[in-house]
Amino acid sequence: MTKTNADRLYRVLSQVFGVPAGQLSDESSPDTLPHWDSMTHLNMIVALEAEFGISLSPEQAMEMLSVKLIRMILQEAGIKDFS
Amino acid sequence: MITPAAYMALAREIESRPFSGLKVLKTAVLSTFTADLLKPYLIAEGARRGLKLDLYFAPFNQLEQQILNEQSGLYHFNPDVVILAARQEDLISQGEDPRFGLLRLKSLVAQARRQTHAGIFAFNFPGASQDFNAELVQICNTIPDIYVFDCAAILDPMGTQAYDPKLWQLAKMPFTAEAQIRIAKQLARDLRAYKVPPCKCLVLDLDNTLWEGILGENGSEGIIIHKDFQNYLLSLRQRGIMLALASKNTEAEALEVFSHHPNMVLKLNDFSARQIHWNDKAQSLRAIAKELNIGTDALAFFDDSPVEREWIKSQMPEVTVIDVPEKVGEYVHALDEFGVFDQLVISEEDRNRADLYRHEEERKILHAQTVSLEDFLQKLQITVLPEKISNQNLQRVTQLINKTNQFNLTTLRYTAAELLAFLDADHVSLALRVQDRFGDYGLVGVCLVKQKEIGAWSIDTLLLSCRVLGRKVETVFLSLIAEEVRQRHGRLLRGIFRPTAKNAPAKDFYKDHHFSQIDSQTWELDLSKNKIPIPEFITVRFKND
Repeated sequence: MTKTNADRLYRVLSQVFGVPAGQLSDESSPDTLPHWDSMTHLNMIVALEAEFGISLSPEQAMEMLSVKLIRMILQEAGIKDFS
Repeated sequence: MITPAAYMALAREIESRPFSGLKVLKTAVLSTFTADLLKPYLIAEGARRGLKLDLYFAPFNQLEQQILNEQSGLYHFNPDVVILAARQEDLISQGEDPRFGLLRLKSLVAQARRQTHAGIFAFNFPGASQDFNAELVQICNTIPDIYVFDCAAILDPMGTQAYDPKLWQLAKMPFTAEAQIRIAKQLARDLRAYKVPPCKCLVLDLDNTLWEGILGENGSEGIIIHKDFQNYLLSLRQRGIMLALASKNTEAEALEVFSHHPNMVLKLNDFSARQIHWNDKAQSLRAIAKELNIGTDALAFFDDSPVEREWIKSQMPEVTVIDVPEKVGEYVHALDEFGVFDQLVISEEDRNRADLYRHEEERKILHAQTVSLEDFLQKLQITVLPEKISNQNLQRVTQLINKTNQFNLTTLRYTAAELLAFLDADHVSLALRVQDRFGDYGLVGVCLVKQKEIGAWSIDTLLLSCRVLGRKVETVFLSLIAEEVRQRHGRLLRGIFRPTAKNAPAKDFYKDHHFSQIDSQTWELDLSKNKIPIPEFITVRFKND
């Protein structure tokens, strides 16, 4: 069974925010995750770029304010198959 | 390569551990960029090198505000080390001569020195000329306990790969993740060299460390000497670092490799001490330190076995245990970049402070709970998987029977065809697979038992690969056989020990399991009166589970 991109995303977010992947959902945001502050947000950008081998623009980075938005932006950036 | 996300998870885990045997170093960072993003990499790389970095990041771009104000966050924090990371362009105003940047830095460093005893590390300037950076070194030489952190050496070779314009715009972090990680590694190395005296002696294993293969299994013709690694070790020796050996092996066999193997680079007298025997390696390390008249905290330990490394970490937290990579080709780099022999020039005052601190840590270590062997074995999560000898495993079983010399009670050799004769009703034959937290060792044990008289069963063969010794797997073997024999109405279990030049490790096996000695080579256990319990920390999983 190959890892889907959704699995990879959740694993990275779990590592960045210190939250088990099972507790993450589309609605997860700085409002719902206590460790998601401005500094860890920046860490998240770095981590996502490293994981998916992409380079995000500052605008894209700033818009990633929930898991749902992260998925959308990653898809825009060419990462597919977020089933 | 550890990913940034993995570093973040690791740093979080390190910070949540209570006293861990790591030396605390209060480290303040003043910078003209957002150095906070370096935190996870610094924590993780510091911990690898025995440091618990307690980090304070001053607010962005506050150099004078922190240094000149006696009530600043910097001084409240009471750091052991202050890192001054300023970009050349941030130290001057537009169009100003870069030398003014150097003057400003000099002033800042001199002021800081008046207010704090902390060691100070000043970043030098990537992209600047050698002369410019050499001037910085000169400035630092005029003030005590100040060091240049050579980030130019890291960033300049990376060229544009070091810089991330997007991250600068977003976060005022000029460097790419890769550059950040490299900076953190080198900084951790320098901080360790500042805080901890360099290790004096590197203790090495033999099997799969100085050579590929296991001497006891492959024989001296079957091992392949790691020449590049040995050449590197020789260069360490020439730098004045002592080498020592700690190996679980038969000493005579090991010494023969040194004296006779044509490809060995290192000679026996390159080693200042050696402990080659079957006992616990923590004992070996203590003996080596005693023999060399150095503290155990001056030892660095390089061993390919993750189990041995974990054991030493748990028993002797003061020893620096090097992370040994899986690939031999990476040994030299891994040992080098750990930096245990790095030497930073420190002043007498700091040496005294370092000593005081060390005694503090030693006292804490003595009071902390030492991990017992049981705890350690429990954490290994050992699983034993017994299986019958069959066509599926016959080839491996035959190989084990013919190659295993050390933990082999009788050293009887059989061909595959002869082994098939052991599969009838008058025999109990068992093979064992072993796994633990660190991996799957494959099929590592064979036992053949024959009913000699009604009710009395004799162990013809019992062997275990040396890579799974020291975990009471042998006990599991006996326990399973005893059960099997009991089920066949066997009442007596007999074991024979035939001594050879190589099987000293098995000498006390039957005695340790409470067999009674009948004659010079034979031992007996009455199964109706004795049970051999399976050690608590081992899980046995049968094939049908």
